[in-house]
Amino acid sequence: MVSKQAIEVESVQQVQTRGSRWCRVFSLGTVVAVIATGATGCGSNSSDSSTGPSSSDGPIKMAGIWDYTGADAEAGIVVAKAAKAKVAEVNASGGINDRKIDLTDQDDASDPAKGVLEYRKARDGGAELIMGLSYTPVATTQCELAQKDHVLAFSNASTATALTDPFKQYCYANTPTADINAQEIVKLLTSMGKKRIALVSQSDGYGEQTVSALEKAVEAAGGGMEIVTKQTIAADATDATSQIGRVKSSGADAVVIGVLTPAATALIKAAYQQRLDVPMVSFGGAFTPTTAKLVQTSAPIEFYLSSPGTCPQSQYGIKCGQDAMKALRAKPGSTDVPGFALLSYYATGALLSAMQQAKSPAPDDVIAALSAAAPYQNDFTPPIKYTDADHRGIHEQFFEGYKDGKLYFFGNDIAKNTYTP
Amino acid sequence: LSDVVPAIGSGLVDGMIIAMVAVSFTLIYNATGVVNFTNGQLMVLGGYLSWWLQVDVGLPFIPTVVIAVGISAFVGFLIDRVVIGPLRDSSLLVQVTGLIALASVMDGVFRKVFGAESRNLPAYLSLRSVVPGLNWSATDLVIIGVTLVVIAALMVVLYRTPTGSYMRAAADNPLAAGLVGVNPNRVAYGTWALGAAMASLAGVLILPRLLLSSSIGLTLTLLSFAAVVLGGFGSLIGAIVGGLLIGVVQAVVARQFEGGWEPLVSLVLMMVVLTARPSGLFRAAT
Repeated sequence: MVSKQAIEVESVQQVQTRGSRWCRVFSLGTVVAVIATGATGCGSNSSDSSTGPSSSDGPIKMAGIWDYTGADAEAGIVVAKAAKAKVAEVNASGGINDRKIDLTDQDDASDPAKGVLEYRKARDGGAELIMGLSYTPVATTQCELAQKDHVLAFSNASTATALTDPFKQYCYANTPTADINAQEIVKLLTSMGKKRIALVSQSDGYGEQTVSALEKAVEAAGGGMEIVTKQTIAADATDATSQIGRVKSSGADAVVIGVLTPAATALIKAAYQQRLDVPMVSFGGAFTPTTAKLVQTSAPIEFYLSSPGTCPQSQYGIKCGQDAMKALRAKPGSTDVPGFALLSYYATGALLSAMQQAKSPAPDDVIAALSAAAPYQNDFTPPIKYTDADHRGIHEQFFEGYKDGKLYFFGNDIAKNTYTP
Repeated sequence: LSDVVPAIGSGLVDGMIIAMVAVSFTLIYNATGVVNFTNGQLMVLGGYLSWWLQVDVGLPFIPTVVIAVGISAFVGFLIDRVVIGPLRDSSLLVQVTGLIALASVMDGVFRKVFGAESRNLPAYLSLRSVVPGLNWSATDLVIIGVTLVVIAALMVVLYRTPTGSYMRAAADNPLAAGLVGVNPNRVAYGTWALGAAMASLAGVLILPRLLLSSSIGLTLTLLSFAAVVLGGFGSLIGAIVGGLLIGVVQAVVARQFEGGWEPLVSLVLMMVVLTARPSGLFRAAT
């Protein structure tokens, strides 16, 4: 039999034990928090290249460094899938001049530090060509390293202006860059008659370039358009109540957002919740199915999304935007995100096609071949063409427009809607 | 002030969810002495199950909630049985390490099974504001209502039923509770199942307002941990107040300052309160 007193004594001891235990728990929790915060984005999905440097008759070593995780995972995964599909296709048909491509599969976690680490691994494995470079902070860092090392850095889907402006001999970009995005955004807003623009950008390198690009484009356009408020939002924000609140207070008649999908989701939901009834126009970073589905379901605001499919329309004699996406959806193995996937697929095609004509897979020979190559024709983008002085493959930008939960617009002039349902 | 009111409204909704998860955290800690670092992952589990049941299977929302919460409760039971059970007599450090490892494994499993890309959970009710000023939507009202009901029901179970007495007895003194017929292992299983169910329910309710991804689990775990520490480890009332405080202060800071400071709020708040009151806002009481 245990007496009540004994139980009470035991309880006091238990409380005392719990007190010291609590201190340990707190210390431990703080350590966990610090480690976890520091470790965010450091998860790895990489597979090391286990072979040595390229030889003249062995496989051609290329590094694929992708945003499999982190803020840009949404687009990064499909960009990787599509590029790998193109490489597999070329390998299946004999490779580049009878040499197979040995493509590594590495995850930079949308984190510049991890991007540097993976770049170093790729270099140690003998790669002189790297693909991927999607998320602006990672892409610009890797491009700088590649420029120093004379390694060819080929971005399948980054909108980073800094990759190609100022010109860098060893860096290539394919997505319309932020400056092109901004000019087309201003063109679209002008066609809508909008003058007072609110800008919400992500608080990192990606967001900063959208701010600078839009400021320049607004200034260049003239016509009384002005940016009435500039807000920032964290890349992984889950709530944008305050940003949208400030936009409402500013009296803006349109909102431009320079963010990736997580922050775009928060902004769209907050805009819908707070009844911000002005059009929202997005730079290319938010072009994902998550964003497109959101404005067609839970938060049906008026939304214009910069599409990586640049809809070359009749001037290039191919189908436009959505039709091309539908027709080509199956090719890169993606049923959900044709935009960036298709762009990555065809950009990779342009690179590999030029490599067929290169004297060797050495970066300088590939660069010469890219400049000399005929424009790369495809069903989705304008012909991809690089020159000695310009390493941007595409120079145009169009938008998908959603209203009342439906896709209703494709183009860059509200009066000239080229969308065909 | 009119600018701050919507931020308070948004913060209260977030705070409610943090509070529910913090209560689940405290419940497990009080009953078993284990600090559950998988809470965020259990929320995410609820979210992914909800996605799968609604989008892939095509079930309506209510059956989805019941099934998702039920499966999560079973997962909670399994965590105690498979991971914590063998470590029952080990040090706290070993137990916490085991749970952190489990959280990491869960993240990996979510990524493999559901993919790394983010998803928008279908909204179960409109996200459009229906309460002027506070800007609460019908979804927000459901979150507030369900959280209050769940916490009230938990209090009733803990303080007005024999089951609650067993749980509190096992928490106060497992040895003595065992001597009077309470099976501490069964209490632990039940508590883990209940705690996991609550975390999962919180996930199912809040994630349609946010964005579902495997990586959000860590953030949610840290927020609920901060709420528990702030309120006073072991105090249910403290967990609720801590959760609400973090939610509101975070939203108001976001409103008053440029974006990017919110993640620091919970940590700074925790440090400030602990400097003044090292045991948190409320004393531990089971």
